[in-house]
Amino acid sequence: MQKRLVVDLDYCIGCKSCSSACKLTFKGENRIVVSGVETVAYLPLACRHCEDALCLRACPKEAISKDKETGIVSRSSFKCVGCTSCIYACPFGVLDSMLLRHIPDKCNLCKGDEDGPNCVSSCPTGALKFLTDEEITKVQVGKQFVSRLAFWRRK
Amino acid sequence: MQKVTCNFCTLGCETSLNESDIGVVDIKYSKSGANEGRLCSRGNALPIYLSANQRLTSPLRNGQEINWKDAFNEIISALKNYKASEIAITYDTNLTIEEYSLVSEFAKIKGITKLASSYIEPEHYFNYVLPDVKIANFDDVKDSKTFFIIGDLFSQFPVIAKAILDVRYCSKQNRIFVLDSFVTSTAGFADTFIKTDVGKEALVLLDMANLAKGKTDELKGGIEHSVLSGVLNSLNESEKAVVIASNSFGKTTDPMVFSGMAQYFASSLKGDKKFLWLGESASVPGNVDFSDILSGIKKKEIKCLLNFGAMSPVYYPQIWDYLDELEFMASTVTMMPELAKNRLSYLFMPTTLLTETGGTIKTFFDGEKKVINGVKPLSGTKCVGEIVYALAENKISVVSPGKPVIKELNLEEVLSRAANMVIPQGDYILMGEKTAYQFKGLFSEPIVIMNSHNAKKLKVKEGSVVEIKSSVGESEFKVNISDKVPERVLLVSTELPEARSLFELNISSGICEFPPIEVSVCKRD
Ligand code: SF4
Ligand code: SF4
Ligand code: SF4
Ligand code: SF4
Repeated sequence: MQKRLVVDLDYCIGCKSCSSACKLTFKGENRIVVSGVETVAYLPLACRHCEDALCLRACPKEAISKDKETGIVSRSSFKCVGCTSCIYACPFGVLDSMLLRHIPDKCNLCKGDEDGPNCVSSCPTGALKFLTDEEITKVQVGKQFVSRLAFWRRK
Repeated sequence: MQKVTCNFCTLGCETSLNESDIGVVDIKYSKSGANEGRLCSRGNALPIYLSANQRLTSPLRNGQEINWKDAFNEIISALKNYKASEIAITYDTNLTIEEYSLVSEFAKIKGITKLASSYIEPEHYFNYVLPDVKIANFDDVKDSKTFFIIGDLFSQFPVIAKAILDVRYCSKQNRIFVLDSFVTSTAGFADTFIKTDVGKEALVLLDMANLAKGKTDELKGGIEHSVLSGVLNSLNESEKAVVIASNSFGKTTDPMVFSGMAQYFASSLKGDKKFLWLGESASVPGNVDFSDILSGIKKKEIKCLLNFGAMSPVYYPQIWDYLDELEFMASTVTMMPELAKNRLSYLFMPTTLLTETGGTIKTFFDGEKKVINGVKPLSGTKCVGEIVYALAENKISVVSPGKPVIKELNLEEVLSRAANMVIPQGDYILMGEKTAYQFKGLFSEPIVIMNSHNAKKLKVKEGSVVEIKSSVGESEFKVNISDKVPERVLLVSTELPEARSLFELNISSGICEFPPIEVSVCKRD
């Protein structure tokens, strides 16, 4: 079944352990970037493996494909010509400089490793989760964050 | 797959490493230990660190490789040339309790009385404790209701954050208070964030301790009475609370005062309240302070130095001037900084990391714990125990690990030092922070964080390059603009050697410290 990366904003402390785990997995550049919303929240940005992936649609060389079973959107470094169309197409800005530097492959959810993605395994607070759509509806991922946000805005 | 204990800080997290014929390859995140296999960025660096090519694999004299037998003979005969009073022994944090005992025993046999920890991170001063402080452990953290956190605990020790946030979210009454001079990611989770002026944390803690004791003299920390008493009441009313302190290199004017005031405040609270400090490594204070050794070297009273551990004191260029005065120095190291290799003409012995040695260490999660040393020692290295045996010409009997001496902190002395604390002045003050992500510069490039006002003044933008000059060095940094840092402050990560080497070593107060310093800064094109 297709699983997704989920961030629990209540628990993400912006430590970037996920980034370093990803970086070391690929021995290159990390595919997950932790972005800060001031000090109120942190938002680790990784590929969403979209249902209807715009990066895939934008690619003129059919270098990007989506696996029907796992839902993983991956990019073939052989077919990619580095035109950067996908970078502009991705609405979440997760592709950023990766393609420009010609690093093979984007986030591929760690190729469906049976223990789950490394960023998730490494996350010290458990903020990053790897869940099925059904599981996602059952967890709360940012209830406390919403109240904290109001508190910080007031100040 | 080999199970190991991470040796980068006192938490003692567990993980597994994949090993091949050529050594450690990468991490296998196995769900073991109190950390459930989760790691901070530092821990993620274990494989690169273990297999780094800067690791020394053969003894080195004047930059030339020599064999172990010659190295031992040279040290043994050098030791015979000096009176015991002219020899000092230092050690850093990469020793197991067993090895520490062996080093102490070795000193005793040789009549060497000057034994000091060469670990000079400010957190070292939490090892000096006030008599009536109750130290917390991991269970206390999990059972606690309220936390008073000093410093950027979450960025420095992310693995602790989950336990604290679990408590915070389990009841509306539970609270997190944070004291710091910067707006940090830890501060972002605070119910009340007490933002002090730069360098005044210790004074605010003193104010709070005084308030707790019913003394309402004038407040020295500059925080309003109502804020402090609100936090204090909440802490006192809480069933169980922990005061947690972490301390960064280059951030605190006087780490001894910082440590003392944090403990003084914790012990002044009513009821079941405990104190906890978190540091990268728990080194035990020796018979003397490292500053005594350094001034002894300057005065030529100490002519010969033996150092056991991972890399200090060669790790700090600021100390090289002192070390150059020595007639003989031998040190174990794990990694050889490129700079030191060319400069220091001493005898270096390649040693193992704790993950390779095994033995007992003190950890936060499990108390005294046997290190899981799943990986083979790098070929060519020897552990400190083996080296000490050889230097004692095997005339040392196996010693049972004694309890390391913990030094008592003198409250009167710390209070008087607090009263005389000088906060650095000047147009730009260089301060240090430590976050796990910046571990030895493995994951990030050198950046300096400054606020938008300073950026405008210097005419720099996000990403511009500036050169920072201090009295001891200069380095280039990329600018990162954030109003989380106060005006005048240039914040650098002291995990990076480039930044670390800018701070001045201060031993004038009888302890070794790297306080914030005045610097000049200019834009590079
Ligand atoms: S590792 Fe977890 S807590 Fe840390 S930044 Fe990533 S998602 Fe957030
Ligand atoms: S790269 Fe962007 S558009 Fe493509 S699948 Fe990932 S999130 Fe969607
Ligand atoms: S799932 Fe794997 S590749 Fe994708 S961001 Fe996480 S660690 Fe990187
Ligand atoms: S918290 Fe400490 S022991 Fe745990 S992974 Fe990080 S450095 Fe290693």
